[in-house]
Order: sequence, then C-alpha cells, then structure tokens
Amino acid sequence: MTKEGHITSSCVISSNTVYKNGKHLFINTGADVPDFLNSIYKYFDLSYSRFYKMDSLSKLGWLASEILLKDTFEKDKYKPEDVGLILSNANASLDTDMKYLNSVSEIPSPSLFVYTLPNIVTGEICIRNNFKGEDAFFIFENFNARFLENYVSNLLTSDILQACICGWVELVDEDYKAALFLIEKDKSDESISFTKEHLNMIFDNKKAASANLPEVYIAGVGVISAIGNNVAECITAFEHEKAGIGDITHMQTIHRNKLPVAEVGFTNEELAQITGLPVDISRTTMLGVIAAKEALQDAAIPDLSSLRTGFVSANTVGGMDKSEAFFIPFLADNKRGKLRNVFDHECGSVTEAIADELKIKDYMTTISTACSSSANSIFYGARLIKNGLLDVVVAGGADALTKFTLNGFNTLMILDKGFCKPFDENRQGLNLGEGAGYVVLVSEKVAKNLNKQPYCKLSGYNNSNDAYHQTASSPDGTGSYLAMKGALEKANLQPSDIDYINLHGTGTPNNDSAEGTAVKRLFDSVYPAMSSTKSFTGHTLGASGGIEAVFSALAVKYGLIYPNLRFETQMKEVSFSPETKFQKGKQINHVMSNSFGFGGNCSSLIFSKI
Amino acid sequence: MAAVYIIADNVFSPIGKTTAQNLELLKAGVSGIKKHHNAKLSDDSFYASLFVADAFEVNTEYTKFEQLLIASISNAILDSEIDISDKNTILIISSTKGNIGLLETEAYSSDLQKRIALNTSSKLIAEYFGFVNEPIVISNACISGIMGIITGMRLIQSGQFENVIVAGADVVTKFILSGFQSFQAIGTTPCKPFDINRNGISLGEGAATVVLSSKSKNKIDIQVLGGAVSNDANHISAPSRTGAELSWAIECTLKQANLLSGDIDFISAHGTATIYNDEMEAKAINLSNLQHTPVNSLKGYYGHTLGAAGLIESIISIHSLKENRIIPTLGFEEIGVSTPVNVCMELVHGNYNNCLKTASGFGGCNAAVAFGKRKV
Repeated sequence: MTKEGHITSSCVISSNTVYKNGKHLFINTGADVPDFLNSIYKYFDLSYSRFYKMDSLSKLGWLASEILLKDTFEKDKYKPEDVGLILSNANASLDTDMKYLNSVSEIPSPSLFVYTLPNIVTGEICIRNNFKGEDAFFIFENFNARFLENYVSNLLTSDILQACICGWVELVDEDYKAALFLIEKDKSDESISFTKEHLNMIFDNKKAASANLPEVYIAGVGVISAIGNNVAECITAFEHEKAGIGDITHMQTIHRNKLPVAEVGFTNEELAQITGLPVDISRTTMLGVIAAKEALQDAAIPDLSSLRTGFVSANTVGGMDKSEAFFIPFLADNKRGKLRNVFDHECGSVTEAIADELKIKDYMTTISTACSSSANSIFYGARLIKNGLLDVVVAGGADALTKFTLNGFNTLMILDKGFCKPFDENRQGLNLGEGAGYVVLVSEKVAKNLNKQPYCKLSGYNNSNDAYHQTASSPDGTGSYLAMKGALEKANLQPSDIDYINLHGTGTPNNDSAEGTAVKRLFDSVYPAMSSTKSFTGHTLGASGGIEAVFSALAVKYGLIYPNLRFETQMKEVSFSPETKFQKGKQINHVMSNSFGFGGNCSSLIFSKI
Repeated sequence: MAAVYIIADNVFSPIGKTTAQNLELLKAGVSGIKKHHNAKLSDDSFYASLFVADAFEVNTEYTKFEQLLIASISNAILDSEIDISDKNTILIISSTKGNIGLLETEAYSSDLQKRIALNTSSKLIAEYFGFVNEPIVISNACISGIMGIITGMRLIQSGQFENVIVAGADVVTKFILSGFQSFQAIGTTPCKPFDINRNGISLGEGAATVVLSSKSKNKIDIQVLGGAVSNDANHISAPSRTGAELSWAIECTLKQANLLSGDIDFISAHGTATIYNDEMEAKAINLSNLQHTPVNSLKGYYGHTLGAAGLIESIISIHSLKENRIIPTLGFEEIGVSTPVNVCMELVHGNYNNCLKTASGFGGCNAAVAFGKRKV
C-alpha cells in the first residue's frame, strides 16, 4: 500500500501545557482540569458559545482542534466532504458516563446523556468547521500510531478524504491528553512526513521539530588545508600533531615574516596544473574544486546523473586575490586594466566555476555569512534534501588567503603575531588560514543505494544571532548558546549526549571567552571532549565550517578526537579545558561543530553515528 | 482491489440464536419487542427487545456483553473454516456502551475503570478465541456496526488482512434506557418506523457477527461492494435537516460499488421510528433518487440494538438477497414522512442482486454500505 500524507500541523495538550508543532504555547500549572480547559479558551481568545455546553472530553478535543487549525489550515482549499476526523482513546466517554449516571438518581440529564458517546467530540469539531467527510472513533488501550498511519493514509490514497484530523483525545477525572494531527496530501513549509514514528514522537511530546522530515546522511568528504591536500593527509597531520601554520610564502605582502598564516602548500601554478584550470582563475575556486571533487569521488554515488544534485558553496571574498592583482597596476595607470577582468570576482562566480567542474547543473547557490558561511551552506543543503527538493547536495565552502582579509583582520587587532592558542588563558588572537572543505549530503533513499556506509548523519543544526555587535561576541555568548541549544533540540539530544565539540575556538580573547561562557551555560559540569582544530589549520573563514564539518564527520566515523595545540594555561572564566592529545578509536556518537561569524551569525551543526 | 466476501454470519438476538432461527421467525412476523416491567431498568413500563433474565451466566469472568459476543462469534466461525490464530486474521468489535452497566452495580475504582474499557473486553474475547492481532474497537454511536463492516472491507481491500471477523453487541441497561427516556425518544408503543403515528424508538439488545474474507467459500457468497461515512456538521443529537449528508454517503457507496441507484433492489434503512430520523432518511433516499426502491426497517423486530444494529440488519439483508425475499417493516401502517418512500409492508419475493444498508447516529454521523450477490 502506498502511504500518503504529511503532518502539516500538530497540537498536544497534556500536563497543563498546550503545544503546537512541538512548541509550547501556553502553560497553566496548578489549575484543575475544568479551569485549565477554560483558561485555554480564554488565552487563545476563542469565541464559540457552544463551548460552554460541551462536556470535558469535547472541550478538550475541540480546543486541540482549534489550536491545530489556527493559522495553519486553509479551509478554502477543501470542500466540506473532503475533510474528516479519525479519533481514538482508551476510555471512550467514561468521564461523562459517570457524571450522567450520577444524575440518573435525581433527574436523568439529557444534556449529559448526549455526551455519553465518544464520537460526540468528532461531531462538535465537524459542526464548528463544517467538516462533512468520514468520521470515526476507535478505542485502543494505548495511542496506536501504526493503526492511524495505515487507516488515514488509506483514506487519503483512495480519495475518500483530502485532509484528515486524526489522533487521541482522552479525559477521565484529572487524567487527560489530547494529541491531534492535521494530515494533508500536500506538504507545507513546516510539515513532516506522515509516519507512525513521527506520530509517536509528537504524541510523546518530543519536539515535533526534531522529528522533522527524513534523515540526511553524509556520504563523502573532501578537504584541502594547510595541514594536508586531502582527507588522508589531514588525518596524518592530526596524528602527528603537526600544525600548518608558518610564514607567508605565496602572498606578496608587507606582513611577510611578521604575521604567521596557515597556507595551502601548493602555489597557484601547481593548483592550476592539478585542477586543469587557467592560472588566472581565483585561488579560492581552485581550492574549492580540489576539495569538492574529492568529496564527490569519495561518496561514489551510483548513477549520480539520474539524481537531482545541488551545489551549495560558501566563501567570504570571492575572487579577491585576483582583484588585488588587477588593482595594483590599474591604480598606477587605469588604461592598463579592463574592468571586464574583474566583473566575475564576486562570491557567486566562484560557486559557478566549481559547479561547472563538478558538472552540477540542477541547483547551485552561494552563502556568504562571514565565518559561519559554510556551516550555513551545509545546514541549507540538508534542508533542500529534507524538503524533497534535491537528492544530493555538495555543501561546504572555500576561501584563499588575500591581502584584503589579512589587512582587515590586522586592523581589528585580533591577529596573533605568534601561533594561536585557542582556549588558553594567554591567547592573543587568531592566525588566518586558507582551504576548502565539502561534504556530500544525501537523502535516505540515496544513502540506501550507496556501496558503503555513510560517515554519519547530520542530525541537528541551528543558526541564531547574537544581536550584540558587528565584530565582537556578546560577553554571555548568547548567539553561541542559542545555536548550540537549538541544534541539540533539533537533534532531539541532551547536552550529555555530545561526545566531542569541534569548537569555533579562533584564539581571540573575545571569541573564546564568549564561546566558553556559552558552553559552560549549556553543558554545565558534564563537559564533552572539546578542541579547536584552528590550532592546526588557522582560521579559514568561509571555508572553516566546511573543513570542520569534514573533521567532525571523520571524528564520528573513526572515533577521533583532535588535539588543541599549544594549550598551556587554564582559562580563568571556565572550568573545562580542551583536549591536548590526538585520540582514535573512541566511542563517539554525536559531534557538535561550532562556527560563529561577524554580524553575530552563529551556527552549530551536530553529526551523529548511524 | 481485492473482492470482499461475507462467508459466514450470526445473529444472536432475543428472537433466535442463529441467523437461520432469526430468519424463520422474522418471516413469521415474530418480534422480540415486548412490554417490560422491570424496576431495575425503569420505574415505568417500557417496550424493548430483551433477552430473558436467566439467559446468561452470572459467575463467570465474562460479562453479559462479552458472553453475547462470544456466543455470536462462536456460532459464526463454526463453519467458516478460517484460521483464527492466523496473522492474516483480525477481529473488529463494535459497540456503543459495552460494559457500561457495571457502573450501575459496582463501586468505582481504577480496576473498574479498566474493566469497563472496551479494549479490555476486546482483549478478553481475542484471547478466548486465540486471535493473534490486537482487535480494533469502534465506538461511533449507532453507525458502529456498519463502520465495522466498512473498516473490515478496507483492511481486506488494501491487502492488510485476509480475514476479518466483525462482531458487535450492546446490552440494554438502566444507563441507556434512562438516557433515551430523558430525551423523550422512547416510543409509547413498539416502534413504528416511517409510520404516521410513530413516536419513538424501542431499544433492543443483541449481538451479530460477519466473517469477511478475501476468498469466497460458498456457492453464493454476498460481497461487500462499497461503503462510506459522512457527518452532518449540524447538531450533536438531531439529524440533518436536509438529509444531504446521508445521501452523499449513499452516493459515494454506489460509486465505489460501481452501481447506479436503479441497480439497488432494496434498502435496509436505519428507521428508528423517531420523528426526525425517519424524516431525514426519507429526504436522503429521495435525494439519491431511491424513493421508488423498496425500503424496510427491522427495528420493529429487534428494537434499536445500537452497536449491533448495523450488523444484525446487514445480515438479514444479505440473506434477503440470497433468498430473494424482502422482510417487511413491522409496525409500519401508513406513510408518515414528508417525502414519500416505498416502505415494504409485506414479505415480497423477486430477483434481487444488490441492496443498501444505511444508518445514522448521534454526533451527526451517517454510514452506508452496499452488498451484492455475485456468482462465483
């Protein structure tokens, strides 16, 4: 039987709380059941004179249906006969049965007797909304998600209904619970697939959002950075605890031998030779091509050309390295340069050039949100898959070192003149780096057809804003805290479930202090292992989220914990300290990766074992 | 879609313990409705179709409601040759009030709450017979029995099960009787469906079972051709003013069954004999262009057996198809609905192939199901 339908809305009322789509909207502790039900009616500003005539079971079901449909349901899409109700509970109308029986010894109450049938609650909801389609009431000992899934999807598949409210409405004395689901044929922005797992998750009050849509898996990874030109080289560098930071060798700049950076070893000519691209193309593009190709080859997706494939790539300054090269002679003599030589140095053209090399045509886009750019591109890629728009997304980012960024960070006075020391009390600032990192995200269906086990799944993600300052983090790390917390909620995990955090950890006093405070607040005293791999790769800006996503995926797959180099002195503000030794073969189920950027743009991703 | 056959059935009523006994007595015009003086049920005398007081064991783990179901299911599956303990067989129970009578005699406790719950009864019955799947319980007012047949039909059509046993029962208790009395819905005479002098229902108790299967078993097995459910969205205890919603359920049923209104040889209506129900049904029958089709109500024999009604009346109807005979509407004398319908007054014979069974209930629910005689 083909399954049809999407859960486009849900409402749960239990334990004195009203939830819609997993978010709690109203709480009234201490009230007894009748008062609680009346308080919901008032709080949501409902107006329906029949409400006061209803018995408690009908009130409960009716309130849940009102909140379920409010602002969500497009009634005009349907004819009255298109919409039906399939409800259930364990004790039928027992609560009112008892009240009615108490009235029998005096004068039997017809107004109570009419409510001694459980399906009256469906009748009330039908009357309110003019729903005239099939309605039925079933009795089960416990919430039977499997039955509802089969029954309702059958009603939709056979066109008996176009939309259905289904669920559970139970009330006896002080025990009550309502969990209603709106099932429609078309998906909506916030809808999740209509499965018994999702019904159960919502029924159990696990965040509806966490049940969000199908899983997204990471099938391939690719990276190029100062510590290695591919995944294997990077792992070896970690194993030998060998940082990639050193003197500037490629860029012509006055900061040579003064400011250390983390350069990719290849010259532009070597990169051009490896990629087969012309040497006058941006270094960012060439780095991106190498890492993205490695990721796609690693994924080895069978029959890729038949799948809807996208490329979501991040960078912060596009082809700025080439703009700089153009600018020096042009400034001296503006007849010596043509503007057509720089028009395609914007961020998007880097993405387009890499996509061409990957032969990805279905979808491409560029994200540029400072240092969280490529974490956001992975986040966005996952949503494209979850919403059924694409089957495969190559997501990540690239950035080459440029004078523009080096000078810019230098004026902000956040560059360390020595090698950076993230999460050390005596940290002085960051070292800039360059590179590219991409993951290949695939849908559940594609994951099943792979010839190998995917690395992990992307189970959680969140983007929140610090709303504090353009380039500085708030003292409390509000944005960082919200991003980490939101990602945990999305993944339906507790802080204690996280085994390792790949910190943003730039090494600036401000970032590490804010991030540390946020970690302290969220993880309290049960700290997972943590480290900043920027102590190896430098801060690669628009590439960092992608590169660190690759490291995180590898950490889950191979049980790796990366060392935080040069850590010596415990930070005073926090009680935890980063890992200092490379470890492998650890039991790692969940890895969190943080990427926070200027503009207060904070993102956290969670990678989980399959 | 898989065809759905009714390969065995049972009606267990005050009239008789097997379908055959019921049919014989129905043809002889025997009704189960009698005048009762029973202080345990009502201060005033009332008409109802009740089992004799000592028909059920008292010192057993099964209540009267459960004994009724067990008796009916046992008889129905006797010669059905299906494997009860097969994973492709499932039980559906329909009832409106089940063991609610326990509230009248036992002190309330959490144990009693559990004992009253319909799923406790369904579990006991499933264990008694050895069903391996958790039974499905439907409690959808007076359409429960038909809803059970429709649900069973779908489970087979969609290939989820091969055999579905649908059983329904209800018992007349003070709870139920006082409630209908409080509504002033109980007639002062044995009920008179569609009649000008009708003034309310007679209650009844009983059980019935059909065995639905994806495979036919007998030379002539009646098929469930289609069924549909609708809601009036009008009033929780009064029927629709237009009958449009019941008519819509009838039309959906005909469409599913691939039949036109002219193909229907007779209708077994709900016909409770309340002023409003019969009026609404007559309107719906007219809206569906079935006003000339013979229609009967069996409430004059059985009273309104609530969760069992749809099943008992379906079974009598499918045997009417098999025997080419329509049972008359006992209690009906003169048409008393504003839009005339062709109420069956006497036992008639003909060549009958398809019939409709309809029901409507509190909460505004309506159901229709179509049965057909097809040579296998």
